[in-house]
Amino acid sequence: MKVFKQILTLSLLSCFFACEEVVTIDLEQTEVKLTIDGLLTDQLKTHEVKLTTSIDFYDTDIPPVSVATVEVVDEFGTRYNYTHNPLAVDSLEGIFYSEIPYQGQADRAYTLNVTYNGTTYSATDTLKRVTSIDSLAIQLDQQAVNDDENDGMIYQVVLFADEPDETDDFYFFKFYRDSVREDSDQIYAFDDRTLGSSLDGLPSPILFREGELAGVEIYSLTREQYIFYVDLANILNGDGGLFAPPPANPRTNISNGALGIWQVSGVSEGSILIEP
Amino acid sequence: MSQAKNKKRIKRLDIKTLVLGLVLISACFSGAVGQDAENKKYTISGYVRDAATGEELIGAAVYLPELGMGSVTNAYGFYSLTLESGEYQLRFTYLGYTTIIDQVKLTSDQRLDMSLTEEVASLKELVITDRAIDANVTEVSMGVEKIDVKALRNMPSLFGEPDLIRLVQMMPGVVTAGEGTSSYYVRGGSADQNLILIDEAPIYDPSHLFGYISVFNADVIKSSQLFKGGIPSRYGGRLSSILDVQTINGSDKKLNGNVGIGTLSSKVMLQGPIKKDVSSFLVSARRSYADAFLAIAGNENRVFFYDVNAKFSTRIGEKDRIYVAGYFGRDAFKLGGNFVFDWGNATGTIRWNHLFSDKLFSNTTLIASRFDYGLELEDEALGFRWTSKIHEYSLKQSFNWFISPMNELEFGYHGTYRTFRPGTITPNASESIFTSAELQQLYAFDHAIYVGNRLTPSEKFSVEYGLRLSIFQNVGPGEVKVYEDPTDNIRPTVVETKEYKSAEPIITYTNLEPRITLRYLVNNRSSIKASYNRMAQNVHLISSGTVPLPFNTWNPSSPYLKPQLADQVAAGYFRNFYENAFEWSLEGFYKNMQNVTDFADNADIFFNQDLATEFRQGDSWAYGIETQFKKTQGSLTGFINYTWSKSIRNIPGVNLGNDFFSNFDRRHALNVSVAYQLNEKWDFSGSFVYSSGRPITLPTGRYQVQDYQPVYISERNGYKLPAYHRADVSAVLTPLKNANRRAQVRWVFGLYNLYNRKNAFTLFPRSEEVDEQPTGNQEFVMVYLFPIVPSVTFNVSF
Repeated sequence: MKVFKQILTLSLLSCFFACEEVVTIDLEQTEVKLTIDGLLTDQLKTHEVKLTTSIDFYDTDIPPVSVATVEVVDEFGTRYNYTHNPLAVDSLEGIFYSEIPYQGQADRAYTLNVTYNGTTYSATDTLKRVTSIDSLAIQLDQQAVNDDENDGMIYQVVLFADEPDETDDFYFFKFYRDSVREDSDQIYAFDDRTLGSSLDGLPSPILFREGELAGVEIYSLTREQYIFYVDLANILNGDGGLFAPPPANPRTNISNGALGIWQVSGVSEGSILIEP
Repeated sequence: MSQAKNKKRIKRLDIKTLVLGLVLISACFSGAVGQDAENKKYTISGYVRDAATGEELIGAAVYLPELGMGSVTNAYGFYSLTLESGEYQLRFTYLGYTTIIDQVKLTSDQRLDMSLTEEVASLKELVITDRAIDANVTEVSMGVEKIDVKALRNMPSLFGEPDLIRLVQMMPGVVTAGEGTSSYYVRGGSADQNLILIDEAPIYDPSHLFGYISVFNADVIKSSQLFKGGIPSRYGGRLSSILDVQTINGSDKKLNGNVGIGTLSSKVMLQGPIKKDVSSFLVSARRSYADAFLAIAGNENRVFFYDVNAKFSTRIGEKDRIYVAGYFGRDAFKLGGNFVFDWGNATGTIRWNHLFSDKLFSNTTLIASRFDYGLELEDEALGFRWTSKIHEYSLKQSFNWFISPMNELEFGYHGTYRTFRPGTITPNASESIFTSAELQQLYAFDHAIYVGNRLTPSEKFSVEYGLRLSIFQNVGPGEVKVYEDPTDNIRPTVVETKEYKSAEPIITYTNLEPRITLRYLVNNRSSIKASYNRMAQNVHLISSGTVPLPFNTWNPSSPYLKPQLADQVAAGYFRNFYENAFEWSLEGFYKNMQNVTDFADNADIFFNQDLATEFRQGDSWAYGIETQFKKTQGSLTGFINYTWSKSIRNIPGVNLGNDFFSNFDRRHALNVSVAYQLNEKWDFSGSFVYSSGRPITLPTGRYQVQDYQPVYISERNGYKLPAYHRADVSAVLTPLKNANRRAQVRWVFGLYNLYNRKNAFTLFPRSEEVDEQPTGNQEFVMVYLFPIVPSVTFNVSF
């Protein structure tokens, strides 16, 4: 629905005389905020929490945070400690890894505590059960077929999955082309109520070529996590707020004014080879 | 508990007593005046009309030079003066019309209908100035702008489409959100605080083409007034202003018409008598044809609007008059091949004027108004249609009691029933993933009784005061959710759902709105005026954007939305120069608003079952100084309007509870308009607008989460867009050959944005890209709309 509104405003502007020009604005310096990017899934593995800080609008490099205490505690008090970049790889600066591999359990609450510069930031969320993918199918996208410049990308993957009617569920989708994440800067998050409580026949927004391996991952979200993604999509697609609401920072489950999200998800995955 | 009930009861009684008291006071006053008069009193009354068309003139002055006072015709062109028997001179004046002076010997009640002839603007001849032309100084009202429709037709305009709202936006005390919007902001109030009436029926969204032009077709406007302050008690329901537009009834003398061909749209208008001097009709239609151009250009986008005004009026004997008026307009867009947007207003009014006596004028109005919009996505899998509607039915009964020239009383009742259908969603393809859903419908009754009295105890002093009692009820059928925390919009928790039957009151809000305006005449060239008014508003626009889109819904006051209230005080100095050739006014105002409706940060207002949790109400206050310098006579006419104002909000739950500038806070606004008649063939006009940039929320930082790079916002409306300014010119050619023609031809040539200023429409951040590859940096993009736009309009009238 939000996307719809954005398309509305954009087409509204472009259909008349709108012209654009890049301008430089004299902005005040912004305070430095800690950004927490944490993900825990029900997969057995070494989980990661990435810490960075915010920068001024016109600055270029996001600095990683290497000195901080990071831990995850489940609702029964089981503690998982995290260590910063244990192998000291340059490209992994700012990433904290759980000291042991572990697996999030469905319907269990997990609390993330991050202590940085003397302040503790916490987030608690519950791992929600995820629906498993029954099957994937392939269909032709007629619009793409009719497009002369389709470059062979004419196949959609169609998802079939059971979706419990009685619960209010939220999902985040990730798509892979030959095991490489596609559109990682796009947000594919859904509320099952707008999907009519059914995931059957949902086509992928991504098109594939013959011979490619199409992969789909579904992440369960809590309502708090889903709202974060909706807000995030709004600020990423902001168009100046003349018709849309004024831009605002996404609401997050993290306390004390830290930015980012503590995502706790069940994951189900599936893949299909594209062959007509 | 019982004590509280008692209190309420007492309060209610008080209100009744007050209203009654008011009526009594004015009645006593008339009695007092009557008692010391030995002579018998008689009434002279009638209608003031346009001689050529029979159209009643609204606000025409009927002045008695001997007494130094007089009256003005009401909204139906009626006047009534009750005087001691004797001989009087009566002057009938109306701007742009030749004054008629009539000698009347008053020995019995008399009916005197007067027809005024429109002045033929001829050069060099200096128009004789009339007493009534000093209305700026002598009228009690302040904070009222009469929008000169005639001037509008010659003014430069975008696409050559003369637009009432554009002129409203140039008035002192009014600011705009930016180019190409039909919304306007009066004395620090938001756009939804303006009541827009066409023949008494409310228009919920005045825009065509997303606001590039408004729904008012200049050809059919008879009069329009904008009330910004000192609002008479007969008006209510919105906090900041009333724009009262009355359309032409149609000539009851002879058939005539008008055809206009413009760059954006074309229009036809036909009016004439059905039975001469008794009944008349008017039909006017307008349609854009951008869609035709787009189709020729092979563009699949479809854009069009149309509107129709129709009217029928008839006199039944000397005492009754009936008017039936309708407006219907619609916009429809199809963009990108599968997005459809459409919206429109439809209004209808039936008015019945009746003279109970030559002193008591009654008007009964039945009003129906509808606004609806639809959004549609045509798609096999994701197709849906979304619609939203608001219906309003009203009954108005008003009385004008012309007790004497120094004492006029108006009172009446206004009842309204509204139904709100905030949203219905239906799948429009059999394979669509969407299911049908509807947000709960809402219903409301609104009753208002009012009384207003204008007293002129002496020539120097005049007062207009009144009281309006508004009783609002949000009623069933429906259910009301009771939330554990009504502001928790992340996880709204319903603790109880209350069921209400049809017409059962859910909540009642009672508001007493006092109004008063005082005028003191310093001398015959200058006056001082002061006013206070309280306004209450029980409809709330559900929009969190800076500018309302046509795709916004309205909600009534409810358990979660308190009535918005405004208290405004204003004072001003009014002065005329050079035999009233120049008018000058200076007004200052302070407006305090309570419960202004705003929305939480990140509010989801589009299809939200728990919309109530997104409401945030708080305080707003605005103050400013506005000045107008106007020349209305001679070959050079025009105005210079300047406003300095400030508008601030404090809404708990928004901007961390800190004060912030309203979206439409603009420190300076300067509007200049000049018209010059060179000769009988050529008229030239020019206008210049300047205003400080509107506030905007800009990011000051950015951060990274996963592969997303969102920006960081530190404050709501913390920055300002660059100042907006623009000059427009136009030339009107009236060929001299017209004199020998049956059909009169007129050309309007215009240039919009003369010096091609790039005015910022908005500003937003985006990722910087070089050769379509993101560099990882951010940049700001300024969007600007109209470059220099020429236009030609061709008009034929017969």
